[in-house]
Amino acid sequence: MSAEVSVPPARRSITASPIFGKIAASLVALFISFLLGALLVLALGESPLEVYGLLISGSLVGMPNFLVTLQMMSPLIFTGLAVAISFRAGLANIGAEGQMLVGALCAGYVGYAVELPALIHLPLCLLAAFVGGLVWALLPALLRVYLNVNEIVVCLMMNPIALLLTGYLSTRVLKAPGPTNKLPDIQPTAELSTFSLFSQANTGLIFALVLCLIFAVVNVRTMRGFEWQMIGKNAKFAYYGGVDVRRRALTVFLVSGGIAGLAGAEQVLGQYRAYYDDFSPGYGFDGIAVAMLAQFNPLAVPLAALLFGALNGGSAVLQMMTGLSKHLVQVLQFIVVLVLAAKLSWDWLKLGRSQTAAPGSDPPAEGPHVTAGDR
Amino acid sequence: MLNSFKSWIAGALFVASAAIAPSAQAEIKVAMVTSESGLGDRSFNDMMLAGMERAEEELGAEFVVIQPRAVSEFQSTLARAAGQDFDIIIGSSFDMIEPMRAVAEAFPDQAFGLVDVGPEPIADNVVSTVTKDWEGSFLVGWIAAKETETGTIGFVGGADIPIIHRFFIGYYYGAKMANPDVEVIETYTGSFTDPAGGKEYTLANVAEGADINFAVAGATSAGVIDGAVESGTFAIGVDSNQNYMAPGSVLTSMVKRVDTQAYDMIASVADDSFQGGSVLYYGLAEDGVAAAMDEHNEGLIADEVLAEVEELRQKLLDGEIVVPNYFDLEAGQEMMGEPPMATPPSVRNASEL
Repeated sequence: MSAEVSVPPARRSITASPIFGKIAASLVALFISFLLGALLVLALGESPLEVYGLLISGSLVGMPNFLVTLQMMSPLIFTGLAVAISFRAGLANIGAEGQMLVGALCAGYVGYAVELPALIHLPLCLLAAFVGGLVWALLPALLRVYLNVNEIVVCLMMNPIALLLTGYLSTRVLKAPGPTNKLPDIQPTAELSTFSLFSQANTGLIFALVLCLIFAVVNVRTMRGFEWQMIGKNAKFAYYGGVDVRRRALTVFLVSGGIAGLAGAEQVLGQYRAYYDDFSPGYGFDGIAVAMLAQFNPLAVPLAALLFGALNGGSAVLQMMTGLSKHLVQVLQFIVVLVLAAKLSWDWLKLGRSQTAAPGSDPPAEGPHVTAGDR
Repeated sequence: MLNSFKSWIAGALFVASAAIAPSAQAEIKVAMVTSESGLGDRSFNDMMLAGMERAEEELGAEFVVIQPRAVSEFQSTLARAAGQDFDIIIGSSFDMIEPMRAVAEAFPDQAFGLVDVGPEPIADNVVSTVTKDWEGSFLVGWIAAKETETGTIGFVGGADIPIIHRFFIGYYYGAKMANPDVEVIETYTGSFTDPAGGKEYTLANVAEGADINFAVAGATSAGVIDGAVESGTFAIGVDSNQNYMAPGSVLTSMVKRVDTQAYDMIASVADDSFQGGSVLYYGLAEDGVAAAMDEHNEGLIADEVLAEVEELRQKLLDGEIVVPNYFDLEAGQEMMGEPPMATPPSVRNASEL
């Protein structure tokens, strides 16, 4: 009985502390990874203060540097958001890289092959990218939701297939004349405009931020957002609570793929102005780290993307000033990922497996199509 | 935690301003901007680095290498490097032409260099180079004709397009100069990304008697080299040193000496002879092309053949030999180059080029 008495304070602590607890957790993880990184830099015989100083000043101080950071973070907001909303629903969509490539190709194709006024052309290209990413997510999503096939494996296989498929199309079928493997340049009506000589940062960034805002509202203020979270927390509970787990899971997976496709649109319409074969240095994979750091919260995704964007943006300055290799910055990033992964697995161990049961597992398989409780 | 962050930033600003202040008085400061494949590519980027190291050694130049991760980072990287006080910023990649033009126009006082691109000038403060690949092809054609045992050599091109024909004409001219009786088989796979096709064409050439095949075919070249290994013949690589791809089966590689080209740019800044807006041509005489010799093809080419290469170089320098450029030929033309020699059937019998 005393347990019941203690319910109100416990509830209050659940609603109040998680925000701070979560932020603190991410900051602690960052702090630990920067300490580890500092040790590494010391081992290389460089001063950690100088290296981090250059990374920070080279990414945030001064308009050119900051604009480059904005350029670097733009694709990561899209891929980070894509991964975040899928993970929040208990679906590990780690196929954002492939979905982005297919989305980029679709945007690049519609961008050059269609002639329309800008008011229609640009949205059409974005839509093409969204659909491209969505279609690429369809196979892992269906397999996951209806046959309970592990989406991690399928997504991982879809990524190289996307790279090879887009590579084939852009080097053989649709290639523009010239020495570079790319599609013809997009029409000016399909461009996302840039602001500066120093950076390819473009209006796609604003679009990305608005998307994050939209999903933050959807997650917290709508029934769908609540159901997505519920199937992520405990699919069985959600099922018995009347959620159409399969349909919700499918929607989340496909929307996640579509958003990853939009990352490709930002690259092609804003940064490259044409689809370039194999353009991505791994924005889709970086998106996983961004989403983890943001703890799958859409509002935190831009901040996490800012950190990774800043590391990449500062990298060039670090190379200019010290002669250190670009690989150092990549290693520093990977350390962040490693610490975050360690933290996640620690949470997982602490909570036990029951809570991490994902949608599409047992319950829906028991009965036929259950929609009775769907609101 | 917030405090430690603040102190980081404070420290960072301090260190950064210290770093931006001119450091040790090196003669020349050079920034090399790689293509997106970066260092370790065993190709242009690594070769450019060799040019930087040579400039460091011989000219006392100080250099940094900046490696963008993607083509989209070229422009911002060049622009930010232009804001530092480098004496010259050197890049390599066709994809860097447009970004460098934009940045060079915004920083008219900054010297830039771009190696191995097209013949069009890029901007008033950019020196660019064109590699006379036809002279390099001439050289390896000459070596192939000297080294063949069957009296037949082959050419495996990617697409059947003028820029690749230019390699063939040089190759053919060199081969005929070394040995007028040599047979040269001209083939094109139709693709730069088809190793399997490259292998088929190579084996077909071998079946017709060719024991050396020159691969000018991008990724298809891997198949040409594969075919050489399988049939116990030789392949010749192109652009960068590909000898390592199959030691003992790659006779040599026709390399574009982007290291020489980059080094000369730095040297021109060092002695104030930098001519912005100029396009420099690099052939055999300028050390802009070479037949790669390393541990992987040691002993494959006879010493006396190699000794004669130096004579060829001198003759090119004196104008005694002029290797024909395909773009100067006309359909049906019968003789080409200096000394004049018969054109191949693909030119002589063509109705248009």
